[in-house]
Order: sequence, then C-alpha cells, then structure tokens
Amino acid sequence: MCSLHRNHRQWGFNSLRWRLGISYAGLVLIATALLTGMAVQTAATISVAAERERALSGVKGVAAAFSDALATAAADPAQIAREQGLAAGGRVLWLGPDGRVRVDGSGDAALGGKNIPLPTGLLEASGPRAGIYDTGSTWTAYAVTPLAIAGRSAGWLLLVRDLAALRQELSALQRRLWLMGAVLALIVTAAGLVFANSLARPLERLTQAARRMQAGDLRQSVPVEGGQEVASLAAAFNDMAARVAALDEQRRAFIADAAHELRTPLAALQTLAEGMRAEPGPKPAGLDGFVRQTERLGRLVGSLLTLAHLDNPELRLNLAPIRVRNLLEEAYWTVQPLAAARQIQLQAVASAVDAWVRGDPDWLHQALVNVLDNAVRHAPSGGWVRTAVQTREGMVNITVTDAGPGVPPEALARLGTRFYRPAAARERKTGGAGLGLAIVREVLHLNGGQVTFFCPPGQGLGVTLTLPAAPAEHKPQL
Amino acid sequence: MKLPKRPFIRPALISFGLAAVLGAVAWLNRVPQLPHAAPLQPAPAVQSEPQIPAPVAETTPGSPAVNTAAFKDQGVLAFVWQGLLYTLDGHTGEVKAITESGQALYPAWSHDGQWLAFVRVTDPQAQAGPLWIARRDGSQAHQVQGLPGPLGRRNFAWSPAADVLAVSTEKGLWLVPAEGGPRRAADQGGTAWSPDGKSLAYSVVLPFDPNDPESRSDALYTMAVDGGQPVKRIEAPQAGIILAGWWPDGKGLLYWVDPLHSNSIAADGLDLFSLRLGDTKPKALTISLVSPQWLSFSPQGRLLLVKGGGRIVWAGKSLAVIDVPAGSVQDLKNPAGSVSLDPSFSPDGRRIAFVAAKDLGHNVWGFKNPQELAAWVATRTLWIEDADGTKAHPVTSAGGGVYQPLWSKDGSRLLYVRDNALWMVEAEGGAPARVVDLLPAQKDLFGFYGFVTFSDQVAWFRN
Repeated sequence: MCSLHRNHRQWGFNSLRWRLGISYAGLVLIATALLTGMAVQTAATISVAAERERALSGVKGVAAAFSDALATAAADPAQIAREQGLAAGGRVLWLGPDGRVRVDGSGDAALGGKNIPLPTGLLEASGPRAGIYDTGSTWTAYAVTPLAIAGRSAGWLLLVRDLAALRQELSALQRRLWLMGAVLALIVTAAGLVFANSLARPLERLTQAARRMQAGDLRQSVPVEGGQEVASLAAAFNDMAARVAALDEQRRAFIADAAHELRTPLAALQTLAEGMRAEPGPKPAGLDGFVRQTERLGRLVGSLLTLAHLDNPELRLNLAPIRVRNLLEEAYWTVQPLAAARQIQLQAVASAVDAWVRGDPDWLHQALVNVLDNAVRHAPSGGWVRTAVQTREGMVNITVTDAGPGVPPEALARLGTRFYRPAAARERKTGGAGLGLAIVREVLHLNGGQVTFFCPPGQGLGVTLTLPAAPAEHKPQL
Repeated sequence: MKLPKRPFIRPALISFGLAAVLGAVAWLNRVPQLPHAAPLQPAPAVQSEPQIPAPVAETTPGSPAVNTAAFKDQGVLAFVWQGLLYTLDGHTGEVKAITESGQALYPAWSHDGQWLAFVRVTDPQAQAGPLWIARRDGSQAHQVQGLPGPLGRRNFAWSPAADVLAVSTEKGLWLVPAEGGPRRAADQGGTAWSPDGKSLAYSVVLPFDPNDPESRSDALYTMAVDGGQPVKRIEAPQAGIILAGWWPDGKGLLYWVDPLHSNSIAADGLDLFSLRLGDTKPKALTISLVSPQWLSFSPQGRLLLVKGGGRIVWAGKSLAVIDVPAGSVQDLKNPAGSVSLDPSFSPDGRRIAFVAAKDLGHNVWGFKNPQELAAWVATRTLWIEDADGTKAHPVTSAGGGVYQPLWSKDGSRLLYVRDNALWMVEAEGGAPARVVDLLPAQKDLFGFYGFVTFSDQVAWFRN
C-alpha cells in the first residue's frame, strides 16, 4: 500500500540526533566513571599513606611525651593519655606488656585490664607500627609503639584515630566528580544533539527532496550547506535532480510531440479503415483486426495526449463543488456497457453521508472512469467491482475494490507510474499500456488529492481516491 | 577495521568491550579497600582470654635485693621498693615488677590473693592517686577509670568473699570489680565489708546547716551488696562516725564516734563503740587511737587493740582483748616500763605478737634530734605472749626498731619491719632473715607522734 510520507524531522530514539547525543553522553559518563574512580582511588591511596605516616609520627610523639611525663613526675597516666590524645587528635591507650588496657585516655572504665580487638599483628612488631583499617562503619588509624618508662619496658602505647572525616571527604570528592561528569554529560549531549541536528537537517532535506522526486515532482533543489561532505552530497543531488528533470522534460516533450504527430495520420488511418468497413461487399481479410489495432493505438495516443495535457503547466482547471454520488453515477454509466459485457456487477456501498468534493468535474470523471474501467477489466467474469465513500478530516475517500487477482505488494508503490505494468497475471491479459492509473494520479494531484493503492485481504486491488471535501458554503442548495 | 560479517562475532566483541569497560568502572569506583578491624568505639568487644603471655618477672640490676629462701612457702608478698610495686611469690621465688614507673602505695590483696589493688600516687602531698588493679602475676594491670578524685590509704577495701573492691570517695561509695568498670552503690561514706562479703557498712553525713558545720551528724548504714535497700543503724548527733569494722560474726558493728567531727579530738583517740545489728543503743568499749592497723581479730571473734588516749604513742598505750559480742574488755599488762603497740593475733588466736617500746611518759611530745628518736625506736622490740597476757617474753633476736609484726599462716614465724626492711623470724626465736628492702632511704620514723605504719608499702597474702 502506498503510504503518505510526512516531511518532519526525525526525533525517534533511532535517529541520528539521539544516537549521536546518547553516544556522547555515554562516552562522557564512562570517561567520568573511569576518571572519578582513578581520582578517588589515587586520592585514597595518598591520603591513607599520609594518615598512616601521621599516625606513626603521632604515636611516637605521644609515647615520648607519655614516657617523659610518667618518668619524671607523679602524673596521672589517665590524664596524660587524655591530654596526649587531645593533642594527637585521637584516643590514646596504654597497653601493658600483656597487651591489655592499662589506661584508656577516653576514660572507658570497662576496658581496664581487658584485651581489645586490635588488628592482627599490630602488637607483634618490635618497633612503631601503624595501619589504616576499615572497621565497618568508619575508617580507623591504629598506631602502636613499644613504651619504655625510665628505661623499663612498660608495654605499648596505642593511638587510635577516627578517619571518618577522610572517608567522608573521599565520598564527597566522588560525588562532586560524578556530579561534574553528569553536568558535563548533559552539556555534551546537548552539544551532540546540536551537532547531530546540523548533520541531520541537510540529510533530511535530501530525503524529503528524494521523496518528492519519487512522488513525481522532479524539479528539486536543496540548499548546499553544512559540512564538506554533506555540501558535496547536496550539490550532487541538485545536479542529479536537474538532470533527471531535464530528461523527464525531454521525455514528456517527446511523448507529447510524438502523440501530436501520430494523431493526424492515425486519424486518417482510422477514417480509411472505417470507410472500408462501411462499404458494401467483401472486406479485405484482417480489416476488423486492423480497425481494433487502430482503435487501440488511438486510445494510447489519446492517453499520451491526456498526459501531455496534464503536464502542461498552463493547464487551467474548472474547480467546482461536485456531489460524489453524481460523479459515481456518471462513471457507472460510462463503464456499465463494459461491465455488462464482462458480467461484472457494479456495487455501491451505501453511505450515510452526502459527500461533496471540490475539483474539476471532467478530469475527475475521467480519473474515476479510469479506475472503474481498470477494475472492471481485471475483475473475473461474473465478479464484482465495489465502490465506497468515506469522509475523514476534511477529505473524501472514494475507494474502488475489485475481485481481481490483485498485484504483488512490492508493485503497489510503483502503481500509477507511467508505462508501469506489474509483471502479474492482472496485467498480462488486459494488455494495457500502463497509462490509465498514471493519468489518475496526475488528475488527483492537480485537484489537490492523491491516489493510494492497497491489496485488501481476499480481494483484488483496492484504489482510494482522496480529494478535499468541498466547503459547506460552496455546496449548492438542493 | 571492518568487522567480520559473522552474526555472532560483532555482538560478542561489543559485549566483551562493554563488559571490560563496566568492569573497569566498577573496579575503579569500588570503595577503597582497607584491611578490616573490629571497631573500638563506642562499646569495644572485650576478650576474656589473654592473647599475649603474661610478662615474666624482671630482675634487672635495678631490682630489689630479695631473699627468696627466707620467704619460701610463705604466700605472696607485695611490697614497694623505690616507688615501684613488686610481688614476691613464696612458692616459686619469683619477683615480679607490677609497675614500671611512678609511686605505688597501699597495696592490698583480694580475698583469694588473685588480685592486687594499689594506688599510683599523683598527689605526693596527700599521698593519693588513682586506683590500680593487677593480677597476682602482674597481668591485666590497669587504672580504674571513672572514679572521682584521688584515693588515699583508707579509701578502698577488698570484699572478703569476692573480687570486688568497695571504694569510698567524696562523691559516694563505689563497687569496683576486678574485671569491669566501677558502679556507684551509695551516696557517700567510709565503708567496711561484712565478714561474709554480702553487706557493706558505711557512714553518711546527714543534711546539715552549712552555716553551722560543727552541728552536722553522721549516721551508720548497712546495705546488701546485691542491691538491697540501705538500713540506717544508728545516728551520732553532732558527731562523726568512723567505721572500725564488723563483728567477726557479722552480727554487729564497731565504730569510733568523733565529736563535732574534730580531727584534733580524733587524733587523741576516740571512744570505740559496739552496736549489735538491730539494737538502738551502742556499747562503749574503750578509748583508742583511730588506727585500723592496731586492730586485730582472733578466729574466736575477740578483738585485740591498743588501748589508751593521747596522740603520742610512747605513753599510755597498752593492749586489751575485747569479747566483742559480750562487750567485755580484758586489759593486758605492758612489759615493765613499756608501751605496747602494733598488736597481732596469731592465726589460731592463742598468742599475741606486739611491739614493746619504752614508755617515755606523757610529758614527752617530741625529740630534740634524730638520735633521740633513733634511741627510742631502738627500744621497739618484738614480744610474744599468750592471748590472756601470760607468758609474755621478748624475741630478742629480732632486734630493736621493730614495727608491725605479722604472723605467718602456720603461726611459726613472724614477718616484721626493721631498719626499713622486711624480716622473718621464728616465733620461738633464732636468727632473723632479711627478706627484702623496702626503701633505700630511711623512712621518717617520727611519723605522727610516733605512729608509723608500713602497711602503705607492704601487703602479705599468707595462703
């Protein structure tokens, strides 16, 4: 079925714009994720190493101060631990040689004399040792050093520092980088859309021009703009379109000239043949065939002249409101003899609406006759041809279906093209020239309508003539 | 590069590349990996078993000279030498340093000898500081945190039945288990454990007019350790109550009454009262100095004390044995020309060890020079007599300048202080053995008008 192509921008998710924009956004997000991860990991590694060194130097200083205080004065170990803890920004614990808590600078009385769950190996070192550990809810720096007071081994001094702030800073850094990446992704996506739009618009114009050419309007030209490649494509397209239009013009001129040149001798031949057949007496053998061939040739030349007439830019139409029912009745009357000869039943589907169209009555009559004639010719003997009228959104659809064999789906799009005959049983037998439906298309086009073809299930070919409905104020009062 | 046109190659390569990118993203954005450790705050998980062996005894060149043979099988001795606290195990002969620094004082053994409490001095003038607890082998040494203020000589006492300390502070009475944090048990008061360790007695200053502090009165309370309600036993109008202890059978209390809360009056000796639980009227026993070191109980429940008022110890001091439940007082005769000091019941309650010193009379309030003091100190000799005061005789081999004799568990030996060292001598006589030095320098032997105690430096667990 022929479809109506709309000239609008492509914004679907499969469009170049979205694919390019999303691709840019994805690349930026991936780059952001990779760079953020590397940055945070690097920052964490550096910070953890720095905190480890800080804890190590801190515990050494605390141990020295603690040892000095307890060796030279009657100091309260708990108070010294508390003061040193405040100075070192952590919690100082004095562990005895057995690893148990002697003094907790934070004053947790329940820890006295108890083992605390320290990281493995922390107390096994002979010298100062520090490590940063994940305690589940936070990060903690543990630093321990052997403690000697007045030259006597007195166990260990433990400095515990909460590194929740470091963890929060790293999380904040990660959030900031991700936020920056997201903003950057949005910006790049927008830029990508703009860039993709600049690429897509010339291509869309080319596509639209090509579709118009496909629809028969060969005089197409698109702006030569955009990038070098796109501009070259546009220029090539314009050259091609100009060339095709010129060739089409030459073809039309040739056909028109040929039809005109053939019409006079053909008329003479027809007159001569009719005269010979009208004379009494024996007739030359093959005269009837000669007459039929000249009649057929005459119809062909007539069609060619009709098309040439339709192609004439100076053609003027007599537009008027037309009652569709009358249009159909006149067309029925025209094709009725042929239908009767072929035992084809013409059926009109009853319609509740009294449809009116605006157009040239003569040309529309010919177009409708062409469609009905084509249907009657291709319907099997004893079959039917059915017409129906519908109105929708200010347009009137006149649909003609037949009981013929129909056409292959791939041939639907080319129906209405001049001299096109589908290689199907439908056309072989009738021997048409492939101009009837082409005339229909041209007539509909000139009257502001269009023709579409379809193959209804279980039926032959369907043809829908779509014409603008006549405005109500233009309808004659009946 | 143009990809091969096989239907599965392109999706496979794209999937592989996508997976690689996502994997790299996930790996790089993972939480920075750190070794795991159990959290320390806010409620650290406590491990019950030690992870590290207890420290071995240190006998560095700076350690005290100890005669382990002289103390063989005599239990465990805690002593302070050069400010550091040591233990001497009579069974193993090991000497262990409990502290490495500071000044330790007032060692005290728990009822089972497994724990040692002491004070690490932070206030040299008041000889007070935070309380510390350590195991017998020196492990689990720790400062008891959470207690208000520094503690002195009489601020803490072990339960006779459990590893719990009763600690009296200006801000109340606290119970401190050997393992665990302190728990506040009462508002205030000095304290004493009942013999079975189930109750505490303590004194409380009743509400008073701040403008008339001398009018304040004390009350004596008892309280079950397991959380029972305090029971007010007696009130001393306009006087302080200084606990001396429980009756040996736990059925009564002994206490001194200090009129007007006067330190001066208390220094010259106070009336010692006995109150049977449930009674409202106490019984005055005798006058004695407020010195718990001069109280000694026999297994039979009799109380041996130094009787006599006046702050000077070289005059008017004699021994008395009191049947506490009955309230009867038996005076013991002093050796001729002497005062009797530092009494100690033998473990079986049959004998008494004491120090006899020259009676200088009430007119002597001091000594002109150290030599005079030393001369008097030299008269301090070790005596032994039966519990009824008979068979009194000196242990001359112990020498002069004897302080604080203590019986060994089997009653065959006596540990005493002389020449700033601990000595051991057979109760039947014989050459004494120097067990350990206490301080390199001589202690001030004038003390408080002659009263000197070494209990702040020595604690003997005799089992």
